Amino acid sequence: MRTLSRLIQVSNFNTKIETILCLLCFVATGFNLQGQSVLFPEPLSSRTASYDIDVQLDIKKKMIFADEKIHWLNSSTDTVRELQLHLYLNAFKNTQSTFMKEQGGASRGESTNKEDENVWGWQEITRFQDSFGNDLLVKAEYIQPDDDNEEDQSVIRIPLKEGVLPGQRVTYDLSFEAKLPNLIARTGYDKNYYFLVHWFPKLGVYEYPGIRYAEKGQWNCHQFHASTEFYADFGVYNVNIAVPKGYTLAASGLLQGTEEKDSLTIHKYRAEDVIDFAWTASPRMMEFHDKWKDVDLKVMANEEHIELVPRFFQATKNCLEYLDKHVGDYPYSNLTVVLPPFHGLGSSGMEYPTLVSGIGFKGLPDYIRIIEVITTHEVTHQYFMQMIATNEMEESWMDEGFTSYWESRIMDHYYGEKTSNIEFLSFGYGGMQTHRLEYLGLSNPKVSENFRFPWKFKHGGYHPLTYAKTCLWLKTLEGLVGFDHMNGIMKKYFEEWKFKHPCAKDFIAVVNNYVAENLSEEFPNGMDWFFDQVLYSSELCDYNVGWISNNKDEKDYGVFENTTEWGIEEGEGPEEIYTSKVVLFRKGEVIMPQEVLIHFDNGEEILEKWDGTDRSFEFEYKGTRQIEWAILDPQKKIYMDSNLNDNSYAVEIDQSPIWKTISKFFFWVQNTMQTMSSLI
Amino acid sequence: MKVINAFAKGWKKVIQSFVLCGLLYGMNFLFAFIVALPLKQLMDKKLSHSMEPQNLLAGFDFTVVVDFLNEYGVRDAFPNILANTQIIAIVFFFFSVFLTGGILAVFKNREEGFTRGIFWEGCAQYFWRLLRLTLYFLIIQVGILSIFFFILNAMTSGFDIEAIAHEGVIFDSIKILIPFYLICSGIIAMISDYAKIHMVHLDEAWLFKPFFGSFKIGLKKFFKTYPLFFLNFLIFVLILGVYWFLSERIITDNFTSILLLFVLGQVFILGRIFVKVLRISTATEMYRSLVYTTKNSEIPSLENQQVAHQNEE
Repeated sequence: MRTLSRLIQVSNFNTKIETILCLLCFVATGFNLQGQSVLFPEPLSSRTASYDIDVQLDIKKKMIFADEKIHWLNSSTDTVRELQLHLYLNAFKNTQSTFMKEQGGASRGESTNKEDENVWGWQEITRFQDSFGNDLLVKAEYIQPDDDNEEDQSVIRIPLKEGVLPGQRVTYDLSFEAKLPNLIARTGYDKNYYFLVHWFPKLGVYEYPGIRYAEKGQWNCHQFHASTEFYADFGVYNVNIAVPKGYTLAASGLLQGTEEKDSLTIHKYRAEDVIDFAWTASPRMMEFHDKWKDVDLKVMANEEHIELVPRFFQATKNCLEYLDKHVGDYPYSNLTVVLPPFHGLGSSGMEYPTLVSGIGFKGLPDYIRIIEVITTHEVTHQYFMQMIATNEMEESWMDEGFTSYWESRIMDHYYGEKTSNIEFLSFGYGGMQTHRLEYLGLSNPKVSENFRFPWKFKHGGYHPLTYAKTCLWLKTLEGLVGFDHMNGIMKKYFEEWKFKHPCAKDFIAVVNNYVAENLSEEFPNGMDWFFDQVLYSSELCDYNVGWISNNKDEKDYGVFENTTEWGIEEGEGPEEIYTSKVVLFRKGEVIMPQEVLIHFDNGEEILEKWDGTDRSFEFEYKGTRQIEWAILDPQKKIYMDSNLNDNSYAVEIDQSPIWKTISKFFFWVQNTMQTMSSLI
Repeated sequence: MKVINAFAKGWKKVIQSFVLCGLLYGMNFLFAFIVALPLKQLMDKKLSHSMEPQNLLAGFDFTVVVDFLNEYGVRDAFPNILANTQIIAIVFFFFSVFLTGGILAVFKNREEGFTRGIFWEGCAQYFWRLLRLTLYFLIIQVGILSIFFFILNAMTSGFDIEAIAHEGVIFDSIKILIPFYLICSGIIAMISDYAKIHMVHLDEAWLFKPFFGSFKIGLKKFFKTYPLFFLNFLIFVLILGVYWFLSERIITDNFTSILLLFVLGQVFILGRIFVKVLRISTATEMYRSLVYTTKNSEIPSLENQQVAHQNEE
């Protein structure tokens, strides 16, 4: 009842009669919200957009039918005269939707019969009323703010009869039905497995001055694109899901109770201070439970995957433990990991509030850690995207890039820097190494700057740049400011921006403020120079040690001023004097401060600093000692340097590693040849 | 002849012909050297002053390898090295066919043992016929692989994830089929050995008789021929196991240990060559015992066939 009271308080009902009508309406609703208790005594977020939804799954028609109430708070100083809502399922309506065009039809797959109407999905609002009972559908229209593709119906604009005043809370009442697509972009069904994401009409975000880049109040409601999807306001979700009896269900938020009704079971869920709500249902799935601190962990898996369940729990615990220590608290009381069946792989590896989907296969050996990598990545999204609710539709690097950075750190911490992703016999590689390969292995790593709307990566590079390049420059930032300070920055960023909508300039401001407070000597001008290069530019970072020379000083010959003797110089002594040089080059466009460790034959070592600006630079020494070797960036702080192999130079070096590599290569060539000879 | 007798005699013949193994090893080494040399030169040129490869001494370092490939390999040097490797591998395949004729000739002339004359003459004499025979049996091997793939396809409903209950069906089907496939493939490999031996002993231009005769020899006396083949396979497994055991215990963090592992690897390659030669030698002994002394009319007696051949002439 506390919930019901609160909903009534926030509704824009001005008269007692309307209040009573509202009460009656709730009571009359088939699935009432009774028993849904408050999860957080104090709201964690502004709760700008909240939803009450009663949804029923029709497994025969592969459809859902729902009644929905949207509670929206106008936080701006504008009178808002229209709403914009996402109807994501319409992205799967036909081949002409923006999503499908951008995918090139790939997601529909060659094996899928495109002529079968069951593979397509759509969504239609059948009723939309304001609190006065006005029918708002009359003037509603589909809009295409991104590409003017008139066939795209993934955004609907609803003009209001009564504008929403600044600070006013309003409620809208609607009904919708949707045909679920055969699994695509993580949503839909396959056989009797259902994964429902982006399934309900959801408000865009009304941005106004003070939020991100907004200069005036306007809806930020992008169409559904091939990559990226998240940007929504925080709110409370009361969702009653009716599925056939015998179906196991998992959803965002906490289960408040179940109710049997005819052939259906109604599962009542409540999620607070989240930006989205997803759920899954299947008659084959089983539930497994564990705990991390006070958080209830649940894994949903089919029977054939039981052996994998402990790996999901361990990966989740590792991730929460690490993020709790280095970023901030995980405030929710539960977290569910869904392991889709093999035929439902299309829903694997995705993140939703307190519910993520992993990936795993029967018989997958421990040394292939794809389960751990994907689970870690998706759980990390609970922080970056879910709690720090960036706009993935515009700045996906703040979502996926930050997550990739933390995923790599976590994996490398628990499973080893060189073995965290694969560890098979003597072969292995780690998380950071994987991202390094993804970015620098691009045929054109300069294809675009990081800062670009995801759907505007027209000629490739979205994934490597968004995920991997961001990961690498965050690692580089960590190298520049130091591990502890990087954690400090991330904690500050989390504290300042959790349950809000930060953008690039907000993160940069956090970094600059932190650096000004803690690292003003090292970086007196802040860190804008860093972000200008790594975020807003596409240039590469590449330094190398060109060469080392140790030249014995010759006696000078000839006629000198103020001398009476030939070929004799002052200071001539028994020891030989050398002029030793280390020559450094900046081959890339990106400029980073560098350290150079120089080692002399007498055992002496000097750590020099270079601002990294000049195209070439040298350190010169005169004396009896000779330089043996030099290492540029010995601690690998500048991890985004495109070639670390040329960052060191030794005058004489043990050739054993080359011999080792060649002898192994030689051995395997011999074996291959012998195997071919065995065919005869 | 008992399997053990054939195995012992075959073993003895290989020991007596150790020069043959040395020659084959030399060829293998030479070809591998031609492949590896460009990579060595590339690494010398690009990494000889870098300290980063030192990380490879402690174990595999993905970053060193990836940076090397990114900077010098993927779009530059490696396609050339790969292309050279493919060409040399094909040349080596034909050269191996050539050498196999020599091996067969040496064991055919069992009393004389290895002589360079017999070996090189055999290489040249049987090359084209062996090449054809090899091609026929490779086609059969591909056919067997196709049959098993077809069965796997049927068991997994065409790898259709919609039609099977879960991925375990594919996993389990492969587990069930692999042993059967290996047995069938092994039988064909064994029969191909007898075909080559039969061809050399008959010395006919046409391959009809040796090809089909080898099936009779191999299958009619299956419980002699297959155990012998399997015994040779066990020797290979033993050599592989010993190599594995020892190589895992050598930590290659200095030049001496790298050299030690290299030598161990070469001993292993020599072992593989020995097993290959042993396979032919022991099969030759078995063949002779079956063909020269057989009372089984189903198995083509060499004398009878040679007499018949002479009569035809």
